[in-house]
Amino acid sequence: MEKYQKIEKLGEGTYGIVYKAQNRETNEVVALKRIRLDNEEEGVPCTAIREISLLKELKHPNIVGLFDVLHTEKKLTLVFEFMDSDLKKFVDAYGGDLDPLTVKHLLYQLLCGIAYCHRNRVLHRDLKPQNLLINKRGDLKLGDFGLARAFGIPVRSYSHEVVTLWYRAPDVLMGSRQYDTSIDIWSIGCIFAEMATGRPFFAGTSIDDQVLHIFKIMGTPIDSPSSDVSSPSAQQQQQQQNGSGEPDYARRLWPGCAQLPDWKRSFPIYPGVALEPLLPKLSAKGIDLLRRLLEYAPEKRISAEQALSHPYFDELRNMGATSGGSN
Amino acid sequence: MAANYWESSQFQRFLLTRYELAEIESTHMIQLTNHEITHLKIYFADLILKIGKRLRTRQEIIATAIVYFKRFYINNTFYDIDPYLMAATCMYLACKVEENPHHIKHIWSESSAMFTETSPDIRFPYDIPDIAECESYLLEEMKFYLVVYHPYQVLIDESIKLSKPALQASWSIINDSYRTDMTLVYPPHVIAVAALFLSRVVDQGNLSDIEAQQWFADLNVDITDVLQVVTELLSLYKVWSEYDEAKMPELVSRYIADIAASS
Repeated sequence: MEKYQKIEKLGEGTYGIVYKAQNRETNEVVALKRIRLDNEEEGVPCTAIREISLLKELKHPNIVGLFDVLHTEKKLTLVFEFMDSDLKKFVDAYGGDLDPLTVKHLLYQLLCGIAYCHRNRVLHRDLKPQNLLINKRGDLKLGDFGLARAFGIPVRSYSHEVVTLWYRAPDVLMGSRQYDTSIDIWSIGCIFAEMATGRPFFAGTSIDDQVLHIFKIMGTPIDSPSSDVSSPSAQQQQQQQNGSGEPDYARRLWPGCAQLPDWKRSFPIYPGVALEPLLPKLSAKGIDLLRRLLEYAPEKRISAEQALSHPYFDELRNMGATSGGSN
Repeated sequence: MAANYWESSQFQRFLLTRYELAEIESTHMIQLTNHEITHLKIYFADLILKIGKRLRTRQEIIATAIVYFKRFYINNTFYDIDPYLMAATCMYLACKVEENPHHIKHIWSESSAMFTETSPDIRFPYDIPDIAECESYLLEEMKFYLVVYHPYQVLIDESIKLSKPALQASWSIINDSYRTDMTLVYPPHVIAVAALFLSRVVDQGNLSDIEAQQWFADLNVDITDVLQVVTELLSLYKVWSEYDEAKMPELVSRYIADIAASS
């Protein structure tokens, strides 16, 4: 008899079907990820190997627990801690209207989990609301490390649906292969904005369209060393694009962006828009943190560790709600 | 995952004491002389290295494959699973774990070609599904703990700026260390320090004494462990000088036949 009794199918992950199940001996409810093996063609899929090897080493309250790996001739079953929902379903269940304190709690936990990954030199590379698991207590945990790979970011998942581009960093979208921890930070910025509005922040339909979605809101980046900011031509350009002469221009500076492989001279020039009206639920501190997460230049983007000390989270610190998961 | 060796499975689950290792060898390898045991270790590390070179993989991936091989044969013998098949399989799995995957067919064909080239006496009657099946035994044996830490990562740490010759000399001593089982017994930084120490003895290195002293001080390693590693490396070099690859296939066959006869 099998050790786990299947209860229901939960969905399809990047490389297999996921079930809710119960341990027949302990009654513990778990999530089973089933991977079919075909020894004629390949051994255990690389994505599964990657996920198992990482989750066997990463142990943190904000990372989904891998309890066991069951191995038979025809299939491999990963036994995970059961989580009731994911961030996408959670936001939908609230009709896209999370209260600001909940957003703050969730973001804090997300940053704790990713800070731990980054300390251990692991990039997640596929952060999105569907991969962030939530249980009834409101704990958020990173899941699905299956797409984490060094050679480019995969375009197709197990079920051949196209992997979403919405959370992908602009440097990666424009062909950079030198990515590091900053790519996860961009994704976290997108997820933060999505929690605050209830809708994806940059919802492109293709790589080019995704780039334009970002540019329309954040402004088309400007490849110019900061010393040029005050040069006459730059001033002029600034005046043309942004009548008010606000510091948005400085935010668009991204030294080296025009050297990226897929940078196009023909990109339309957008001045960018003010974020406050788009995100009425966020305080000034929240907007400031969001801007630092969505910083164009990867090397200037805030780290997860720094983000955790941002004043936006002072409220949680004052409540004593930042323990558990911060280590 | 180099930042976190002390929390790793490698430290918490796989590190053996020298006595445990000696115990294992005395039960598994009872029919062999000490020199023969060392020669077998050199032989299989070399074979895995040769597969890795054909695949043009990084040295760390080759090292990971060698560690898998050693881990598997802690609780198993060459009679349980053919070591040639296991060598190819370890390379296949290490490439996947270290994010440099090769198609199983490629691993199979490069391994077969390498064995044929090495000696006409090596038998490799296996096909692709055999590697896949062997992988499942290997994964089971290691309980799916797959991340391995290596001394190389310690050497290229930013905190020590080694000159190119010093780095190269230490690096190749670390390569040699995989021809022993010291990777099962000592943490990577101990082996790295021993390699650096030895490289300075061999070649009056370019690392200034003050830098070196500071680095050693910061690492806070047990100097007796380092000296033990140095001693083991020196004895490896001695036994290695008598090593003859051409004689190894026969030794492997004889050893497997002996285990079969005694079990």
